[in-house]
Amino acid sequence: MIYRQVFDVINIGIVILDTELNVCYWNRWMTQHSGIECEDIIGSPLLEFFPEINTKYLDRSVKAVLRFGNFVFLSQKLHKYLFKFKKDTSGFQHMQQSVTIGPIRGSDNSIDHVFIVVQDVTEMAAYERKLHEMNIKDGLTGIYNRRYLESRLKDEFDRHKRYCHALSIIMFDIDHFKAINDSYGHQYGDIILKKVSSTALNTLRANDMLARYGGEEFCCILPETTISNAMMVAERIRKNVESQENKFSGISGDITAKVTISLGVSELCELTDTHEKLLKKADDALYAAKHTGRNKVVQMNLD
Amino acid sequence: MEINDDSTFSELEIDTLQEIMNIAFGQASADLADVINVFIVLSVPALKLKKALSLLEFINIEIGDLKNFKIIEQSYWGKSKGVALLAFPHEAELELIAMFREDTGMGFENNMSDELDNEMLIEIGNILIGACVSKMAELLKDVVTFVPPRVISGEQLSEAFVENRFEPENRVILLKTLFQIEGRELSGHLFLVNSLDSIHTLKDALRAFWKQYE
Amino acid sequence: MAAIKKILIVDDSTSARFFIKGCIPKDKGYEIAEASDGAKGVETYKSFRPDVTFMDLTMPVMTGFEAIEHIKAIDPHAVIIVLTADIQAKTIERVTALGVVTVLKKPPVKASVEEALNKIQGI
Repeated sequence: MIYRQVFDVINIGIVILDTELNVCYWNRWMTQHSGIECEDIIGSPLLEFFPEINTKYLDRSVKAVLRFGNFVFLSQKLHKYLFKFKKDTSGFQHMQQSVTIGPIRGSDNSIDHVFIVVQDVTEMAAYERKLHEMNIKDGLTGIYNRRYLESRLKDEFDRHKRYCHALSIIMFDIDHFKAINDSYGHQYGDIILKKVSSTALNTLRANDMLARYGGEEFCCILPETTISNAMMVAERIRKNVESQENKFSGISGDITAKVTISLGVSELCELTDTHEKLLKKADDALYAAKHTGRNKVVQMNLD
Repeated sequence: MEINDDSTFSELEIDTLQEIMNIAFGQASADLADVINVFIVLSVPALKLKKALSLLEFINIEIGDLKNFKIIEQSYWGKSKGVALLAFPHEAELELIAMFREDTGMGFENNMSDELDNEMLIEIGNILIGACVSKMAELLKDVVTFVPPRVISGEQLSEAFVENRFEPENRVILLKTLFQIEGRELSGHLFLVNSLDSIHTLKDALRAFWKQYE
Repeated sequence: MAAIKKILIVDDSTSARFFIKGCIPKDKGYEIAEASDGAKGVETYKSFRPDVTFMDLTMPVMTGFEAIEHIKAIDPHAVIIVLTADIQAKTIERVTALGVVTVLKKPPVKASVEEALNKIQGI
């Protein structure tokens, strides 16, 4: 087979299977990444070597290819990979693959084999993942950004409204943040932002979501949570922030400032018809907290 | 079978094409039941000759509100070049995805992004379209190759879309059928649009089909 | 059963009828009549009195299912062969329950049409 000379140097994986999923060809790329030599796997059922493959899915894909002569495309986004190959770079544990399965026809046009072509798309996937993160996360604090929060809030709002489940949100901001910035500098201000967000994040539960809403303003979405429980969560965040260490060793000596936050809480109720209204209510509550002494939690009652 | 005119199909040719489609879709449903465990009822297909430009209007009238539809689009080549459009309303989308996930036992997070939903629709569409088109080709002794499908919204099915695929003034053969998935509130439309550039090859194929019975 | 003399083909597609005719042996001197929907099929059955009827299922005016019921009501011994593109098990069960002798899938194949006719005649 003269084509082998090409198949063995090409930078993609090529596997040829018979109709019973026995391996008929295994190119060098496949050997490089799997550590399985061509002569060891040829003639054996593919699944004997790769028992972790979702067999139902592979079966079905191969069946479709044999029956319809079409191509099955397994995207990286949906399947991650078909063959589990280790990959230690790019932040993925396994090589991300884009896979095509297609028919090979004999001289009478009937399909007697299928091919599998495997492309390594790990780097592209890593790049996409990074872009995605940059798109939804705040660069300084690493928590979600406002745009992502708003889109998630809309989804959660619709879902909770539809199923009549409880949904609460907390808005909070750092008291006298401008004064902190002015007296200790922006570098220290940034440290405080990071500390407060990490304290809040550690206080929240796994299903809650925290985002940086504006300069020193934050917002949490608390799914399946009534306002009384949200008040308890808010109070815990307030206490934890109040007692957090804010020491910073700079060139001009150690700085330590007392940092507190004010919080506003609101809950989705029958009259809340948009997610913007829910946000507005929490924002009003936060405003009330600010104007009644700070370092406290205020809830907005049903309007 | 008298075939003289190379610019259009005779009534008899249309009748034969329709019958072949009917047979092809019957086989496609049977095979789909076997391959994906889903029983699909395909309505008796209809065939129309249309000017490429009037395609959109026709589809819009057929399915109602195009804006409310998601469309899986896949091009294919055989003796003639064509594009398959599988359209279903947004409500059917989640149902289709749920069905697919149940069948393959693929574990996905509950909150899938739109992007993943689309990827899944592409895979479903690929199989449904593949089955219908390839059975048709098989009966006409043709071999078809496919490009990967993609998902577009109803709005994206624009004049530019048509112009990129067909000569706007030329006529196309339009095959349409309604598909329903048994036991689920799930139905959609399948359109197969073929260019008439190679009308004579199609006519030859029909002639060959008739020949088997002469 | 006695030898077949007359055959009725019921299908709305001209081509489909042509294909079936093409599968029926030409050297047996069968007399063939055609009908283009279920209702016409029932009418023709009454006047023509065929020994065997080939019946499509999806047709306008009256479906094959209904036509079979009508014909069976006229003549419980009517010999009907269903020829259909719809080969899902459920459909086959349904027409079998209506008393058809066999179901052939489209497109018709000479060998299986001949075999079906022979079987009916006990050959």
